[in-house]
Amino acid sequence: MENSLKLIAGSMVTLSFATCALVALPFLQLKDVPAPEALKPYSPGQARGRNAYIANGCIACHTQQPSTTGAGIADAQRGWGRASVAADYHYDSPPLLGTMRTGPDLFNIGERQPSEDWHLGHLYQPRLYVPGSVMPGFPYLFEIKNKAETTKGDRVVSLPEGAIPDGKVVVAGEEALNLVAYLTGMKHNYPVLTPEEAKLAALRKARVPTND
Amino acid sequence: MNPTSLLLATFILSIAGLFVFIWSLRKGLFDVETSGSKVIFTPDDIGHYHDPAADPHEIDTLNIQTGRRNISHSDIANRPHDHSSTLPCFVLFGSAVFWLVFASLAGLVSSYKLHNPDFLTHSLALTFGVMRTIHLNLVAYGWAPLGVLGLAMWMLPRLLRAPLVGGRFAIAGAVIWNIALIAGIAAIANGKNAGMEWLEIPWQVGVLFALGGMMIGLSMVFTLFTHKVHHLYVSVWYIGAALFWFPVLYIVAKMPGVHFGIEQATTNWWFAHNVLGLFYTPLSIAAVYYFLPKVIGRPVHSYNLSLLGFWTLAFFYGQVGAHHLIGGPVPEWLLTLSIVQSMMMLIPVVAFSLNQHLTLKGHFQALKHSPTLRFIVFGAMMYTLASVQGSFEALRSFNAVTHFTHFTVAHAHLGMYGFVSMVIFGGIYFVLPQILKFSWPYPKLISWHFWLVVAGFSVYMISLMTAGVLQGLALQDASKPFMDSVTVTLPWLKGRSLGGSLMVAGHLVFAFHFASMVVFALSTKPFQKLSLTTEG
Amino acid sequence: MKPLHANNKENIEPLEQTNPVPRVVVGLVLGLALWSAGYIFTQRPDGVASLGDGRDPETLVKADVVASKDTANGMQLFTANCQACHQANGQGLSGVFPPLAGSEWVLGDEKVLSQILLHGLSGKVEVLGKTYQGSMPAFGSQLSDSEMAAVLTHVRSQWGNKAQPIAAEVVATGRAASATRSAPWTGTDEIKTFIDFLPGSPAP
Repeated sequence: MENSLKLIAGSMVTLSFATCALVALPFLQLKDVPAPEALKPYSPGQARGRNAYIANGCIACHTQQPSTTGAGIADAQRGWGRASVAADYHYDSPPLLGTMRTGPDLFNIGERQPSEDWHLGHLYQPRLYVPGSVMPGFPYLFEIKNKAETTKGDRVVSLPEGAIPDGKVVVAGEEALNLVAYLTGMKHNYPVLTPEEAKLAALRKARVPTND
Repeated sequence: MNPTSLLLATFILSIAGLFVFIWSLRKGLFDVETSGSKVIFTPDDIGHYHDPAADPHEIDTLNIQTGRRNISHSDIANRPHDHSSTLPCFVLFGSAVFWLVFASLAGLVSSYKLHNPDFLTHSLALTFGVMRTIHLNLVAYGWAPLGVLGLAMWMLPRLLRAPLVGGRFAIAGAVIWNIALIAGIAAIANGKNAGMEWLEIPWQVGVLFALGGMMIGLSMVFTLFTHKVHHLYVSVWYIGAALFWFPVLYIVAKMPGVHFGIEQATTNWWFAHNVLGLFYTPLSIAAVYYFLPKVIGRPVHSYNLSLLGFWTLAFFYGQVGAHHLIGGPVPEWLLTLSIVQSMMMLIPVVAFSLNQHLTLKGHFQALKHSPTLRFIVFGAMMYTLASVQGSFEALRSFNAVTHFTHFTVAHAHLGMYGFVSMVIFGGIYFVLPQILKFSWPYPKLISWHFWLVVAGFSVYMISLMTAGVLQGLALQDASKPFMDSVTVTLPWLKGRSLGGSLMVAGHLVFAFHFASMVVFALSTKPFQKLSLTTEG
Repeated sequence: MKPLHANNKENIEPLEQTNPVPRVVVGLVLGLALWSAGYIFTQRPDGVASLGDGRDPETLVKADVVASKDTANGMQLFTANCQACHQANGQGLSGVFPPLAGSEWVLGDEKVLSQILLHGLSGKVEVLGKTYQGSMPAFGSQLSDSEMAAVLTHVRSQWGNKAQPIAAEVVATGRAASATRSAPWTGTDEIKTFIDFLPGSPAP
């Protein structure tokens, strides 16, 4: 090759193919997909909890995409929810799909683990609740106080006996409460298709000519 | 038309177009005899073994043993433009090595935390998810880009026979880039995270990266357009294209307020896979194409293979990113496309590997004596391995086991470490003596560095790939409790920490050697003199 | 520690020969292109783009989290929904989550037990002589009658527990009777009072 302009022009053409496929076409195909009726926007607390999820790097170990591949099939059998669809992420910017399941998928964690007590204690010290867990504790989201000093607004975390010294209590910080509000709100068990829509989608998949 | 026919038609047409384009650029493709090529090479072009990082006596002995004349090419005439890139390259390498030390320490701490989860849990900056992100960003925006850009900046003036344009702007750009990285890491450590993998640094800081990167890049782009050679050598193709690819990737991916929902996820992986495939990889391939023939004094085996390798990489690599989302909530046709193009990636990989192998054939003994060659060839071999592994990892059957597991992390290290980092090491060993006009003070340390990181890396890879497969199999079995997929990996995660420690030890040796070389060189030759050479 | 070898004779900058592309590479290119076209053709990625990869539209209609509603599996439901707090051995966590093994509430009145599961329970609860400050979540909205019956039957037969299975009808009756309730029960006494005043119950 002798011509540097040809080189640059050619390489920009190849990149534009990739950009069309991975950016432009998904943009056009998905931009008008409406939010499912049953999916509620995040409450202010949940939105702050979502930020805490991002800030603490939870995505490093947890996915939010019940999938249709190997582990995803098993998860569905475990009762961890149907496969997710684009509309489920309507209010997510960015969606926190994740690529690692060092910990379990969390897309329906609010469904299978609705207990606020459990979540708070588990965030404080996971190994008190799940023996052998490799999740780090997040003690900096909590405050240890003397039992006598707690005020009325304090959310005292009930921990298993012996987890902290007598006379002390663990009080959940605001960020921990927001994070738990976000997690317990993770419920994506609503239907996304009516039976008629499902029938149409299945026909399309089976390559039977349809009227659309 | 249904998606299948559309996809099939687009695929066939674009492939046909690609090969017609490659065909139009070929040279002497029909000459089965290589005699045609010999005409343009005088016997003097077939050189001798040369590596400024090697023990000069060993290399001399090797040259005599193999009966190669120690041809005295007039080296000054050969590289009159080196001085224009001296200081910018030095700044880039210096910062790269600095970030390497911190990046690998952050990686080691993260690795250790995964089997000792109660280690350092008392602040957000130290928690696993943040530490791992810091490790990734220090490598992705510190060590790797600064290292490969430094190599590119040093190669370009030589390959184009033109001085680097605007070296001072490049230095300023490198300074801005470093400031951006510090700001970005500080942001992540304080919980200001943009939330997309490989793009965690907030876009406000991203503007600084764009500015600094542009200053570094434009200096090379202007050099490219002033080239004085008739034929552009293959390394130049990769460098030139990468310099245009990266800004497009970064700016499109970081554009605030454009992306939404799942489209953001596909954009995320379009970026994250291409920053490896269309930035680190081409720049590292450029370095292999330069240093391997340079050290053994042989021309590259085939221009036509280079051509095929370059354009197929340029075309196929860009479209593979969605394979990170197999089984996910992304359009089905997109995943099929990414899987297909992942397999098509075997073409550039085989073209590159075969070209290097046929060039090196008959000269393997030089590996024993040339440290540069040892790192470069190891890196090239890991590139082949990483790419073949990556192609098969994209297949649904293989992916069903490895998806969502530590195997993905192992694969990323095969590419970013085994390939890219090893090539940067090799390149720096060759280039730094030329920049500082000084030999490496402790040649033994180069061997220590090599064997520490190779041993560490082997332990790392074997442990983590095993962990990934075991984890994947456990995750696939719905009758097993989830915790089984965690416990089964623990011994292997410890093995990974062991391998990682050896790698970090190797990096400390390297950083120490780098620093002492700088100290020695500057105490003999004042810095003043070094910086003056940027004039021109 | 010395300046660069004075006799630093470099090779010229690298060049390329013009050897042809080996036949094996040409074969690989053709083979892969054919394979790819065949792969696209056999995969038929015609699914609706917004639904995602390999989705079975049927599974997106049902509203339940658990895959197979009809054959509700008590153990699986327990693992997915209860085990995190009450633990795999049914012992709970001392001081936070009460045990199910040997618990008088698990082995006792099936109506009370169904109500705890349907609406949850906050406030004090005494189990095996220990008092727990409970906040058991409600599962009424995410589990069907048959699923609740299955999981309750499961916990009544595990870890040495031996009590009668619970039928889906019992849960259905309880659900209908307490349909207007939206908050958790504030204590076991409240449930008992509620059940005692249900029509058909023996007068207190």
